[in-house]
Parts: sequence; structure tokens; C-alpha cells
Amino acid sequence: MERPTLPALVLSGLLLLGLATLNGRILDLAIPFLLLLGAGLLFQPPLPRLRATRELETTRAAKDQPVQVRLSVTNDGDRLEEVHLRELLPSGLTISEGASEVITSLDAGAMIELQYTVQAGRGLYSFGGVAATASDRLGLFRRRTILPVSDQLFVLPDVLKLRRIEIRPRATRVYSGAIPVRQGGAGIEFHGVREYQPGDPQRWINARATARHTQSLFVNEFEQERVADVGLILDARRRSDVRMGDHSLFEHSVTAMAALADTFLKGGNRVGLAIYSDAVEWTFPGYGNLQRERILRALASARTGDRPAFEGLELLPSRLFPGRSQIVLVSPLVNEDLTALVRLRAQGFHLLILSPNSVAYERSLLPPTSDVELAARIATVERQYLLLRLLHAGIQVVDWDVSVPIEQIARQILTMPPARPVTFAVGSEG
Amino acid sequence: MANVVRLCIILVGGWLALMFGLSSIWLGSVASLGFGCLWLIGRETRRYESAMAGLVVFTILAVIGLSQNLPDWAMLLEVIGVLVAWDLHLFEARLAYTSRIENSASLIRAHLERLAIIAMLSLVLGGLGLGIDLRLNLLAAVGLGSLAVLLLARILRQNR
Repeated sequence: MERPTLPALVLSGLLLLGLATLNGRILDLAIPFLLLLGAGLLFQPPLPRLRATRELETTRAAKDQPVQVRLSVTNDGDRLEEVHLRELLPSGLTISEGASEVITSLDAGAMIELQYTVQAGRGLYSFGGVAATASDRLGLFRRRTILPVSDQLFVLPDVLKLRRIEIRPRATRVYSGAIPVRQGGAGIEFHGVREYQPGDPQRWINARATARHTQSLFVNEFEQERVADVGLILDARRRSDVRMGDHSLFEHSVTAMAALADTFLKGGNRVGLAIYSDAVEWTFPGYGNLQRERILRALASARTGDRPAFEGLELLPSRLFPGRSQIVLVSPLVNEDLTALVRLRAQGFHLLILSPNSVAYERSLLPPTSDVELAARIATVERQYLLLRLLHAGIQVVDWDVSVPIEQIARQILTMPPARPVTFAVGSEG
Repeated sequence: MANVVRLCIILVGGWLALMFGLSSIWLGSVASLGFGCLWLIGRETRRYESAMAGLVVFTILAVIGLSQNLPDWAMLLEVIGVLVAWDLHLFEARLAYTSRIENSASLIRAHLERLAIIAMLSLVLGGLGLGIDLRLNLLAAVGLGSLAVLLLARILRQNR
């Protein structure tokens, strides 16, 4: 209820009661209310004409990194006896220092500055503006306006450093990179020996082979290494996530995806990202630091979604990726995903799935009762069956128990060349 | 500020209880003290709706006091006190919910000054009103009633 409404109701009640009972003494009691409301109406505040500017210390920050915000509000209108200025902060931001609102009086042309420090978890935070409420000295009547001043703060996911990840896509790009392509040429790893051809560097000459064939020279051949197209897909379906209080398996997926993207980009590859949520949020493939920034920003704003059309992986955008390229899916997986993934594999993509183990994660969050243990065992069997079927379809699957750091998984499994046809590893709890 | 609000609420409850007590209307005394305590508890537990309830309840009790032939001037004082307590209670809440107050001393002083002016004017005009014997006919009564309705409509429209 707005502030003057109640005294106005009481005033009306007293007046009506006094008139109905023809009792002047009751009418007399209405005088204080009449004066209060009259004074409020007489000294109504003007509509605030304010101008606001905001400065963020940085527009991209790491998780829980303090970011200083400075907000300046200037009064371009008449003097305001009392004005309440309040930042419309996006939810999820917490103020660790300072104040984001103030009550003050502002002379014409005067300026007030607010300084505060915010912290937040991963996300994209859009500042919505500043609410300015001018009121009379008694705070009875108010004039409210929103000062439009928009800014965005990206809180990026942690980027863990991984060693080189071995991938062997069927198709690569023409530029030299770090992915062996089983073709002779310039490279590092020994590939074979062939007859010398004009133009070959002298240091390539294989002395032993040449000694056995006195009529001709032989040179070493190295395995060509090139860059590849890598399509990253982050499963952000709510149905595959495990969320309990502040804990969410999806956050582990995001962290892993950030690390993978960083590693592939550092290897010189062309990397694109699709976030499979309420819709497919697509970051067009690209190279280098700029692409890294684009992907990290996309990951910063990634949220789980539960649109029925995207419940299964059937709408995975395979046409977005170049044919026979490498696709890396980070997904806890559900049983119904098998068909879509097998179809993707059949289209010729080389598919690597990093699958955070949802069963082990959920079990770690629940009290260790016999019912929980039994349910976890059943779910684990179902999950292992699903992973085995993927394995038999020629898909490289890494079962990741998120209690094991992603760096360790990467070091133990992902740095090894993928076995033919697949690699299958189970985390400690798997 | 907190002490001023507490004092106002205690005075509002205590004054009405005293007036009822002097007229041996013990039920009125108990009710006044009880509602005063509830208002105080509401304030201490940061339930600011208690200010609104206090305003309505003590105004009704003042009207009941009039019907029980308690002194007019005492009931006028009571209503002025209730209005001041209600206003200060909400003002205190507004300040408490805001993390930064610029020049709080001058802000509070200005608020109290304006409130004091209204309270004094109410006392003077109310006192004068008690001494006036005004005869109203039906037309004047209907006119005043319409004025009240118009005022209420204006205020509600203002706050929409």
C-alpha cells in the first residue's frame, strides 16, 4: 500500500462517520490527517530529471573476482528535497563492499557518486538502470523514474590449462598444425623412408638406408601435422544436469568445455561452439585469441534449458560442422541419446564424448544410505551399458567422475592417441 | 531515531490507557496497552505493517473514547500522537532499508521539522475546532462527504 493511501482512508472514514453521526468531535479528529495530506499535496516533488553514468572496472572478470563499479548521477532538473537512488542490479551479483543505493537531497546541477564492489559466479550480468524516486520531505508523495544506463559484466568460467589433446579427425585443413595426418611430409614424427628428390634438405638424408643402396640417396619422411576443424558441443539440457542446492554438474561441464576450447585453439585449430539448451546457441568457428574470447563469453552466459523440442539430441546441428571433422561433446548423456550420437558418427564425424558421470556426482551429494547405494548401482550399470554401446558404435567416450580434476583426466587419457577404434576410460567411481 | 519512535509508541498507548483508566473503562485501558505493546513488538521485529495497523487501531480507539465521553482534547492529542508515531516508524524503516544515507542528520532534522509544524498546526486548528459549534444541514453534510470522497480519489489516482 502506498504511503498516503492509509491516512486518506482514515480521513475519509472519520469524515463519513462524523457526518453520518452528526458528531463534530469526530470531524475534529480528521484535522491532523487533513493537514498531513494537504502538506503532502502542496509540497509534491517534481519529476526527477537525472542523468546517470556508470563505470565498471572491467567488463570481463573471473569467478568471484571483485569488480568495482562507480555510478554518477547528475541532477539536470530542479532541486530534489529527497531522492532515493537505487541500482537495479541483476540477480546473482553480490555486493561485497560499498552501497548501491542512497537517499539524499540533490540541488539543481549537483552530482552524487556511488562506489561499490560486486562479486559473482559465472554468468552474463546486465545492469538494468537506476531507479530514482523523488519524494517530499514527509515521504508521502513520490515520483519515480528509471534512468537508462546499461552495462554488461561477463564473469567467465575458469580456464584450466590442459596438455595437448590427441584427436585424429578424418579430415584436416591445409595449414600446418599439431594433428598428425598419416601422410608423409614436413613434421616431427618419423613416418618412413623414400628416395631422395631434388629440393629435399640434406639433413633428411638417411645414412643407413643410403649405405645399403649405393646407386641412390634415401631420405627420412615425417608425418605431416595440420590443423583441424573442431566442433565443440556443450549439452545444456536441464534433464541431463544434476543440480542440488548450489551444486550443479553443468558447472563442471562448462569448466571442462572452457579448458578444451582453450587447448584446441592453442593448437591452432579452427574451433566452433554449439550450446545445446533451449535452442542451439552457435559460436561460428574461428581461430586464435579472439575466438577464445567469443567462446568464453558464450560459456559465461550458458544456462540450462528444458524446452521439450530439445529434450533429445536429435536436433544436434551436424550441418554446422564441416564434414568428417572432429566433434567434441561434453554431456552427462541420457539413455535416449544413443541413436542421435550413432547417427552423427555414421555421418562421418569423429566423435569424442567427455561425459561427466552424473550417477557418481549425484551419489556424492546424497547421504550414503542403502537405498541410495542400490539406486546408484542400478544407474551405474545402465550408464555403463549406454557407454559400451557408444563405444561399439566407434565413438570415443571418456567417462569422467568430476571428483577427479579435468587436468588429470586430460593427462591420463586425452593426451594418448585414440586407440583403434575407440578409447574408453572410467573414472575412479565409475 | 529508534528511541524517538519507541517513545512515541509508548506515549500513544500509555496516554490512551491513562485516559480510559481515569474514566474507569478498564477494558479500554487494557486494549490500549495491549495494542501499544503489539506495535512495539512489531517495530522491534521489523514488521513495518505494525505501523499501519497501529494507525488504524488507535484512531478507532480514539473514536471509541469520544463515544465514551473521554475528553475531546485528549483524543485529539491521541490522534496527533498516532499520526506522528506512524510517520516516524515508516521513516525509520525507509532509512533502515537503505544502505547509504547522505547527510542523514540534516535529512532527519528536515523531516522532524515539517512533522512538528504539521503536529502544531493540527493542535491549534483542532483546538479551535473544538471550540466552534457549527450547525450542519443536509446539503453541507453531503458537500463535505463528497469532498472527502474526491480527496480520497485524488490521492489514490496520484499513487497509481
